[in-house]
Amino acid sequence: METRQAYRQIMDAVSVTPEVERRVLAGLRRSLEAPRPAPLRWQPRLAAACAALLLCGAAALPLWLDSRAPAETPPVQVTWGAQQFSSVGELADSLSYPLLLPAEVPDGYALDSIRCLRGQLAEVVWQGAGGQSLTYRMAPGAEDVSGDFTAYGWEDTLTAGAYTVTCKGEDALVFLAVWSDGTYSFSLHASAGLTTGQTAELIESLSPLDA
Amino acid sequence: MEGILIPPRPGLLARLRLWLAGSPGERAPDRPLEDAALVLRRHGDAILPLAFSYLHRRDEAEDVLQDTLLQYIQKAPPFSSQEHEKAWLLRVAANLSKNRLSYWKRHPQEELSDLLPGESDDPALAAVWDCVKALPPRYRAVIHLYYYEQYSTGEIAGLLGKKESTVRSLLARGRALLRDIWEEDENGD
Repeated sequence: METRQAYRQIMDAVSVTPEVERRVLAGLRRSLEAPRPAPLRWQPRLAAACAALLLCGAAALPLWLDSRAPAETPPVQVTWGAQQFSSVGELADSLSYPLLLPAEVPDGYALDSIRCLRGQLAEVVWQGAGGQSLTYRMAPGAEDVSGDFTAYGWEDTLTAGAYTVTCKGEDALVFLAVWSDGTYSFSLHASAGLTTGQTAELIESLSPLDA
Repeated sequence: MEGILIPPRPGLLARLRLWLAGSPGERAPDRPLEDAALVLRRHGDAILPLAFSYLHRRDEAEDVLQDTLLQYIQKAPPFSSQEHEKAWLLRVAANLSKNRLSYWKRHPQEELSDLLPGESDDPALAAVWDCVKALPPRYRAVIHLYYYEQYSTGEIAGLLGKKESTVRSLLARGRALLRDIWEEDENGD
């Protein structure tokens, strides 16, 4: 037997069986449910911050007295070219196009994250009590903006209001919906899945953000 | 629209603690467990063998798989494609595996590596496995990623955070260490 072929055969035996999947996910659940270690890092940071503040204050006091221009608060930054906002209004103001958002989401979801990616892709995430999430994206153009390249079990189209929506999912649930109106591209990702009815209802509730 | 478009406000003490731990928004919100389950199905069969190629123990490789998914939940960035996602996961798994090897070096463990992963009685497979087990750790990932995942040397370099010339050297030296078996194959033994 060729050695390369033998190596592949050996490694093919190391696979994620249903038993392995069950063990790993159970272990993961336990890790996530366990209380995280106390953020000890903030204590030395606090001490260092106090010491630095005293030194800087003593050195900069004369300068501060001379120039008391209000400091601008930079927008909160997250890594990977994303800009986080504290309200959908701020997100809408930063965009060069009118933001459309769902007016209705399924019960149990609350707003969790508001971001703009790469300057023009608006992303709003709602999170449920059990950790499940709904991620809505909107951007100019006609390309798929979902960022989800999973090969789902089925793909179908449905009509929601004026939109023709491509839905992808497993069993009876929709995990990804993508659609476009010719000018803007939209996507909705549901980590725990939605029924087609819930998906259609959410998309049909899209409306401009009230000023 | 309250609760849908207006996020709940954390308390003053929580906000102060977040500020002292790092500016708000530096850490992205955790992804839900369901995302990790989907990732396990998509890429688990790539992550587990890579970890096994380092550690040679199935139980330890499963621990690395679990820790990789935990990192994914807590720290993964947005991905531009599935390949990008897979490469990130493999890099995390490689780093976690190397951490374990470093720990074992400082705290020597009884040799418990699997005799042969799988239930085959093929002596040829066992012979190859004996050779692979004897390979020093620094060659294992490169050999695995090149011959099993079929990445190019450039892709392996990006994945492992090494220079491509380093990867080519490691691949050449790893193959040289296995040369006896390669030569037997080439001679048709």
